Amino acid sequence: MRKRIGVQFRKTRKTAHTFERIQGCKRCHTYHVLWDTHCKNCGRAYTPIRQLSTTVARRHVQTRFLLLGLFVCLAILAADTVLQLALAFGIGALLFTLFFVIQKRLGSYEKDAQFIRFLTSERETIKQSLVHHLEDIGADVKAERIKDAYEKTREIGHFIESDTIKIRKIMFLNHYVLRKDMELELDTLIPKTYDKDFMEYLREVIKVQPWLVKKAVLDYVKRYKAQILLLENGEQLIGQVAGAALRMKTYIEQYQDLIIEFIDYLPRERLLRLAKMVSTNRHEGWDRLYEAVKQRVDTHYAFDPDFKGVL
Amino acid sequence: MIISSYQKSLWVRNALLVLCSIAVVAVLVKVGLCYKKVNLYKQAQAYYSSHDLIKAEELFAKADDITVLSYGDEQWNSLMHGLTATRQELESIQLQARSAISENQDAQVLETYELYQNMRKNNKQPGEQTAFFEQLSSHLGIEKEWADYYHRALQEAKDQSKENLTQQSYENETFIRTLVTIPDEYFGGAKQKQSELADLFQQYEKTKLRNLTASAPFDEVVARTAKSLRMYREIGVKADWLFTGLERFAQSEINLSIRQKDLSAFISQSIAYRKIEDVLPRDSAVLAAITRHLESRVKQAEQYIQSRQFSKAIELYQELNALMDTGALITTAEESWLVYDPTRLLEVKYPDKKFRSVRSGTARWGAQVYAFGLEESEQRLYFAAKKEDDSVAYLEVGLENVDMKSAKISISDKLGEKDAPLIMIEAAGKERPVSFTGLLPALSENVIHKRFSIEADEFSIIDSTHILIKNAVGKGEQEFASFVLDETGLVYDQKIAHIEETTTPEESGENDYPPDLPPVSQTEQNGQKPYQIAVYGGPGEEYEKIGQISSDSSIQVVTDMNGWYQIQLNGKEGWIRAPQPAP
Repeated sequence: MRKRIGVQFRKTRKTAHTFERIQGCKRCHTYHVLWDTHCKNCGRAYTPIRQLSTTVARRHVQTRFLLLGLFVCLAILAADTVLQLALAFGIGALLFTLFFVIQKRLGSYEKDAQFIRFLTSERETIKQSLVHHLEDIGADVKAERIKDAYEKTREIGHFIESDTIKIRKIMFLNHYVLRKDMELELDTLIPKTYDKDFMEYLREVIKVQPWLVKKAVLDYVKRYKAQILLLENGEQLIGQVAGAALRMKTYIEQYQDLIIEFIDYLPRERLLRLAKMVSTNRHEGWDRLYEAVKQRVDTHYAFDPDFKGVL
Repeated sequence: MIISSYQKSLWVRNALLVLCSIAVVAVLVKVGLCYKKVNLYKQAQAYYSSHDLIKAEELFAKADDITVLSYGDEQWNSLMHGLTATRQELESIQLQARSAISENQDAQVLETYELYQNMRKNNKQPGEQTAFFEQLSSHLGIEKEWADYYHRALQEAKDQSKENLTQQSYENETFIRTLVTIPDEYFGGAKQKQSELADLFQQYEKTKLRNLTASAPFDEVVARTAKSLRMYREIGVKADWLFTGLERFAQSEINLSIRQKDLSAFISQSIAYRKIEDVLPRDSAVLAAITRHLESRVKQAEQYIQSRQFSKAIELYQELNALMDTGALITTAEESWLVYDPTRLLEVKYPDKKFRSVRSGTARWGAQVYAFGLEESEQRLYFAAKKEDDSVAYLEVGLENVDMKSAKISISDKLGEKDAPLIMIEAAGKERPVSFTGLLPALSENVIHKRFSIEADEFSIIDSTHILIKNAVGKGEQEFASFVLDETGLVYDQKIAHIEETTTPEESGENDYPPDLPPVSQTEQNGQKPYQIAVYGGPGEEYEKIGQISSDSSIQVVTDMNGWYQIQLNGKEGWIRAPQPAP
């Protein structure tokens, strides 16, 4: 068993949309998804990508205004008579007014549409910036700056959905002592295949933040039950997961079989909670679970005063 | 490098901003110009209403120069455009006139004056146009400039005419053209101008011709007068009086030369007069006189030829060649001379050589005429012939072993063909008394073939191929032998008889040829009484008799030709008939 180190991770930003994490350098034409506020190359402050897009959209509007202005000017210059001159001025002014009104009304929609086009056009550049970040992470790992590497991987993980990233994060996290006050993640780290490091991480997370066990984790454990049982204290691990699933009634209904199978490895307080829940919901199809709990309580906790009268 | 859409949008926006700014500036300029044009146009209309057409046109032209906007009433604009065109034309004329006046270019000044007068004629119709023309003409003061110029030019021309006559210097006669270019108005009308100029020119030219005939040579007088005639013709002035004066002068001078029989003066005067044929009428009496006299001189040359004075005829033809092409006449004369005296072929070709024993004739060896003779110092025979095709061939052959002092030439009447006989050279031999050489000219090959050369005591031709030779050197020695002339030369044929006794040439007296001395001495030796021999100017009795010599006098024979000896008589050349050998 590796020795774990205590550590305080950098707080990650909370954003409504993932794209809000992207910042761009206007001068270098690069993007950044980490916590730096200024470009390392040119020292210029990063600008949020949405703001960049908005600027581009505004310039497009300005360009259209200028084009219209140029057209009107050419019309005036080409006018040969006073009437033509007046028409050019009048029609020009009318067009400007119309264009201004339309822009006022539809400008906000255009900004969103422009943002999508902007993201599409900048996809390659963003991808290159992420690759650059990944290279930085590689350098951090080599220099044994595991904390930085994890933090960067965590930020990049918002944009890259891959087992490699997940497994890297798990490996980085397994270097440290997990605490209740940490911003830990579990669902987002579930790999597509069975991973022993993930199971180790799961064992530690359940100890400090059992509420992170959700449906995806339960499905994963259920799917790779056979491999987990081969681990040391594998039954206890599944029992802890099953105990964590007792937080929600829906989980109990969905994963009855798992709970029944590993009911012997449920901790006492989780069994007591289960007994109370099954006694309340006995007639909602929980008969099998009730029988299993009753049998477990009767065989091991028949004289425990806390269980008296529960079932 | 991939350009971000952020930067691209910035550049596009900024580029358009620049373009738009330029366009806005252009629009502002145009608006300003339009405003100015409208203001000028309104001011022009105001001036037009107050009948100030010059000011109205000026402002309208300024407004019209601003082309960014079409503005105003088309009919009025058209009227004003017409005024602008008139002003521009008048200003252009004034500019040209000023330039021509400053450079004293009379023709150009007149041209501009006529242009102005045409304009004036075209602007006679009452209306705005005419009113504008009058106002503008008065405003520019253009007529006064012409008046000042022409009054000054008229006075200066008259002064120059007087000065030329006073100083007898006629180099600068520009005043004539100046006077012609001065418009009629400044003389008081066309008739007055014509009359005044005719008097002036006639007086000037008559005085000038009188002065020139007194001081200048014939050709200069003729050339200068012709120059004046050309000028008068060019400027359209009739100058018959000048032509009459010139003819009278030329006729008297040429007649004088004819009377004095000064052919060279006649020729130079005729050349000078014919040079000005372009200013003379076809019926010029002087030209006719020149032609007549020329014809008479040609007839005289023909008479010289008839009297066989060829050199005189040719000399006359050559002199006349300056006036007419006498090349063909000279050729004919020379041909006649050649036929008469073929030895000229040699004399013309070899003027420095002295020939003796010259023979000449016609229709032999394919030649029209021929001549040949011996050149003693060079030990050669020279042959010249004019062929059937009129080309002349010159041939020569070396006679190394021939004693030139005693050599005699004859044309064999038996050896060779009738048209191509052998030329025989008989001279004193080295081993025998006589040497015989046979030559045959071949004009087609341009060579003289030496057919044979033989020494013997005697040489007797039997027929065209057989020769009887006595005591020949080599084969035939001490024999009377027959020789045959074949393609290789003279070939021994057969012995006729043996020579019984030999006689020396001195005893026989057969080698006693007198190449340099006429047989006069022979007659002397014979004891005959001396007699007088006539000496002629040429080899013939048709030549002038230039003297007589006595038959017993000692003379030096220079050369002989066709039976005549050329001799020295009192330092002059003369010819005597070669004495006939005694029968």
